[in-house]
Amino acid sequence: MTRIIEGETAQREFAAKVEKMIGDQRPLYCYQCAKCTSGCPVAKIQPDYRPHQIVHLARLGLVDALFASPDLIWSCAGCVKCKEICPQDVAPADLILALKNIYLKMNLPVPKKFHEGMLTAIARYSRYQLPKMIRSRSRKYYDRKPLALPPLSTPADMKKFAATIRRIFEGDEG
Amino acid sequence: MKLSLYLGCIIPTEQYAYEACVREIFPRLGIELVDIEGTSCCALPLRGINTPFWLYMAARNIALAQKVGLDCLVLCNGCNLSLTEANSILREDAQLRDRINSLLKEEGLHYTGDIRIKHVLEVLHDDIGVEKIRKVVVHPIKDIKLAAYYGCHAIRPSRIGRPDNSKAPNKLEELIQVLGAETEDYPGRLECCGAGLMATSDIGAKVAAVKLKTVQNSGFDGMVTICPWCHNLLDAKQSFVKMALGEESISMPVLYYLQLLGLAMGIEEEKLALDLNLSPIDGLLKKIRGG
Repeated sequence: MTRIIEGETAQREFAAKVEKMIGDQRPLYCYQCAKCTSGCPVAKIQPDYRPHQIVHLARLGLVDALFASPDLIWSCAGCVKCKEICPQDVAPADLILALKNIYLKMNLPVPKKFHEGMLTAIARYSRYQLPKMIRSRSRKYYDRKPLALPPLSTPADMKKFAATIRRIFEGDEG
Repeated sequence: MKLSLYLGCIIPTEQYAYEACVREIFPRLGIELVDIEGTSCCALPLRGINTPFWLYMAARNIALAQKVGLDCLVLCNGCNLSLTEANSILREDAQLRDRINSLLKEEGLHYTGDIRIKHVLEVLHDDIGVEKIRKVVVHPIKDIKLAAYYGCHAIRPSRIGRPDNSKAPNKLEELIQVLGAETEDYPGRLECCGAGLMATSDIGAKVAAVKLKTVQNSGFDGMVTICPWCHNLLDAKQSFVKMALGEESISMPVLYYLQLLGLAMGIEEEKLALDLNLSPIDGLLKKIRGG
């Protein structure tokens, strides 16, 4: 009995911690109607992907189950439909963003490590990529110049810009 | 009307046609655009990686737009959501605002959030207006049925204010119809394209394939987009989606709304960068020219 009560406290603490993070997520409000899952475009293609179960696991503080496979939280398309249709304002989409933040802090592997290259590029160029050369339908090559688009501006002081990003990721701000 | 222009990442580095059309068409419709100096990525794709970082980056771009002193046109659905939601969060939370401002101080910036973030749909439909657009149509798009595709973040989440209704949006349809083209509802009209998943999961391409097939099977001549991420996936990556999933029957022309508008306004095709569309639009273009 004691163990269950202790467990409950830890669980409530996790859900409360998640609720305090930036976003509208309120996992404790969920009454498991599964409307989020019924409207989810990913669930239509991958039936074992169920946003209401993610909410349930978060509400119970079952971190191991949430993060056992990266495919769970990283399969959210971010379409925000669940947040829009939830009768309880649980905002599963925002909850998943909060869970991803926690996942990162636990140093768990992000699928395809997509963010690493993006962050490096942003710190260097301010955007996640430099202008690409695009081969057109008629097999001509275009970047900004052939279309007479003006030069792209970047932060006045790239060093300060990059330093602030580092400060956020290395310091307490993150 | 004068607005500052925020381009984000994918438009100025890859989806050049969108930028070319905006710079060509908006001044003709009485919208003067002022570029913002020193902007960066809006960081929405990295919100799950580090949410305070996202908020800082979004606020930083708003702070730069504030210096121009005009409301800001943010073209990309994702960037638009990013900056609008950051504004919504930071206006409500003074403590968070102070935290972000202490970071912005390093570059001599200060966020107040006292400008509006405008969406292309809002500027076209509400500010310029359907009637004004009707008057600039010199080459009506006749006998062509087009699927309006909003993308997610033009309509959701409604809590922070979006340019159209999340459950029954109609502004893009009105903007298509005023050019003479037909449009109608179709399954999944308000559903995700899958672009937000391309970086982390193979499901993204499957979502896109379902969307393209549904539109095709509903008898449309083409699809009309307003978001560079939707466009990039449905147009530029259409052949990838086809190959990856062995869906050889997919063949769907995809145009930006502004390209369609430009055609109806009689603007030279070169200026609308139509050569950059990588979906099979040649048949549709021929039909439009013929009309």
